[in-house]
Amino acid sequence: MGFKSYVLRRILSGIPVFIGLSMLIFFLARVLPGDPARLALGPRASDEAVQSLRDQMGLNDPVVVQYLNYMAGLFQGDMGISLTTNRNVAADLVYFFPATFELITVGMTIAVLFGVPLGIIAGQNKDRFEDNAGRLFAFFGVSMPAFWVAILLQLLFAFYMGWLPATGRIATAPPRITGLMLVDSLIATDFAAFRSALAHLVLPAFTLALAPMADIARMTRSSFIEEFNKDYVHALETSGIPAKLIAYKYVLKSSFAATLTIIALDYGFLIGSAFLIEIVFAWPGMARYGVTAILENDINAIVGVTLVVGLVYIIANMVVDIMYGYFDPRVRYGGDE
Amino acid sequence: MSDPLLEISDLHVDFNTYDGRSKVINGVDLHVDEGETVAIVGESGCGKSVTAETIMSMLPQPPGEITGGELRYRGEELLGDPPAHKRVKAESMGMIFQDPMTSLSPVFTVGEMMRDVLTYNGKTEVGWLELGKSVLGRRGADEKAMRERSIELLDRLQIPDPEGVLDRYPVELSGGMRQRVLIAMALLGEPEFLIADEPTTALDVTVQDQLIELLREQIDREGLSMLYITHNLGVARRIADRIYVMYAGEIAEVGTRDEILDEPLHPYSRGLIDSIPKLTAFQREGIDGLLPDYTEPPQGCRFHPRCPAAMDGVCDGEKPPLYEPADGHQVACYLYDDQMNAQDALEVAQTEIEFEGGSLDHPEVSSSLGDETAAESADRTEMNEPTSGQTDGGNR
Ligand code: SF4
Repeated sequence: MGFKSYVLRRILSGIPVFIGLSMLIFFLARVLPGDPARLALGPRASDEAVQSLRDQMGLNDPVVVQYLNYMAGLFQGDMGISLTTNRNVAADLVYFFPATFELITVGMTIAVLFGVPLGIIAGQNKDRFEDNAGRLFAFFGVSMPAFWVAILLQLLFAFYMGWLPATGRIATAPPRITGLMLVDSLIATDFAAFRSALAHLVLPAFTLALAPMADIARMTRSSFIEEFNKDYVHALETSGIPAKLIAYKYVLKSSFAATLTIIALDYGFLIGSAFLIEIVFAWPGMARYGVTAILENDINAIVGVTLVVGLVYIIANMVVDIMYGYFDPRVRYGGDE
Repeated sequence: MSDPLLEISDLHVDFNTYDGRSKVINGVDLHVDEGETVAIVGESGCGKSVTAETIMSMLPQPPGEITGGELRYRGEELLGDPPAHKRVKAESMGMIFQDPMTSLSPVFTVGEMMRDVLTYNGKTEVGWLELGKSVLGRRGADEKAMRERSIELLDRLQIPDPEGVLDRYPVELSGGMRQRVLIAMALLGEPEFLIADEPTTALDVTVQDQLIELLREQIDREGLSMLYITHNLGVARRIADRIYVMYAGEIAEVGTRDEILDEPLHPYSRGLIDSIPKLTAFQREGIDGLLPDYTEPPQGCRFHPRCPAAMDGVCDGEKPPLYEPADGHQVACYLYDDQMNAQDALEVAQTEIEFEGGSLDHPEVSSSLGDETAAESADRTEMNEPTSGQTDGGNR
């Protein structure tokens, strides 16, 4: 079986997962305490008004019917009206999601770019200074609350040094195409905007990257050490391949599979921490939208936001699985180890 | 006889474990002459693999520690000179490993690995730029020549469809095929000295036979020297010119293949050979007990607790020296002394060493010859005839 069919299988297997997820989210949102219609209209609205809003929202239909209606709408890009913004949730998400996506993607890129080399350096110097320093960093990286680090960084780089903007996303936005400022500014060949977008991104993305960076470094370190003790390393060495080539070509490629797994997990985790970071940095992403939705029991918005978060999880895992198959042929051949 | 190609003298290796210090190699002398194949035979844990690891400088340190001895390759001392060891290893040595399933990188194709061996063989350093190119799979100008060389070698090892195998991952190959690829990888760098660490143990018997035959052919063809490590006397008999019998980190007996197999002197060697099921009657005799504990090894001869001929007050005193009843046939046992000739020694061996019924409790050694049919075995004895007697590799 080739790589292509492996990829296809992985993509197809994402579909039932998504359906299951959507059911779970949908039904959970319906059993949340509090009547969304009552909350939307306020305590002094008449019962008739509440009832008619419930009818209008379809809340009086059997849950299964509601779900089917919702899914039918979903395929046409209709995710129901948000009770707080009075717009379609889909439109809201299209507006807010790219900011969050840009933030976590840049954050993850930073985490990988720093975490993997850190892990390799620690792994190659097991139990020596580099390793211990890395361990200390990993310990702090994982255990320090992100919002607290965020405030510290803001104080240091934005207020005392004045090097970077403390909040917001960009000075003047380029015409909106993808909603990703970095991409949009490049499309508009507006380099001032690109620089501004980048400067705004640095602090929140770095804060966000800290925990997964530590995770990735730890994982890379341990799988690097583990791989290095495998028989094939000795075998390659005695066949005359230089140690450096073995380390950075052979061992790195095998050990990267473990790192990939943690990247997938952390990518999902990043959305969670992005909620806090966005608020500290006043980042106009999904977080504030989501938090407001939950506080207001804005049922369609809650379902929409959670669904998107879940979808990001599923896609991240899918991408990682596919990369996994690329890095480790045993996976795609249904290997024997 | 010229200087040996590889010579180990008085090697001591300790392992630091939670239970204390284990003297895992306790004064081993060993040499391999040019063009000669030497086997080390012993139970697992007797130190034969540690000896191989020391030669290939891949002893895990810690917990291992080389506490004494010398390792000379073509007269050059290597143990005290890691850079020289690295160089000699890269230029002249090759190794075939035990487990074909784990000894190839799972994430690269056979061809990619072979290409790297051909490109970098003998170099100990590689620049970052070069490294980057290799990672990205950039092929050099001599790519085609390398491919042809790899194909030729795989073909020589009787791998069907060698061209296709180059583009496959190890996971797509059977155990026997992988072991052939491993042999090919070891031969690619054109070493002059090979170490084979039980390369056939993980495979089933028919595949084992083919592989040993193939390996022999390659060794003969290239005129290589080899140190073959095994627990299987039957295998040693088929491939080795000389055999070292190792017990508990010490050499018990050395001799030509025929001396060891037909006229073994050391009680342990006799026990090993007795524990091979006879072709006629499957009655087994052998040695009771297990390898001693290395942290507190028995005083004197390490074999004495298991030895049927042990003499009180002699064997448990000092470590027995190597006596040499016949030229090149040495035995570490107090039953013999330097005055004896080969005839006397054999007589002593036959009268003094008597195993009491009971069989040796190590099934792995005993499975050696039972798998062969009598015809095959006879055939082989004939084939091996020319190399009997004193072997210096010249009569290959
Ligand atoms: S020295 Fe003594 S104990 Fe050791 S093998 Fe010889 S007879 Fe047996």
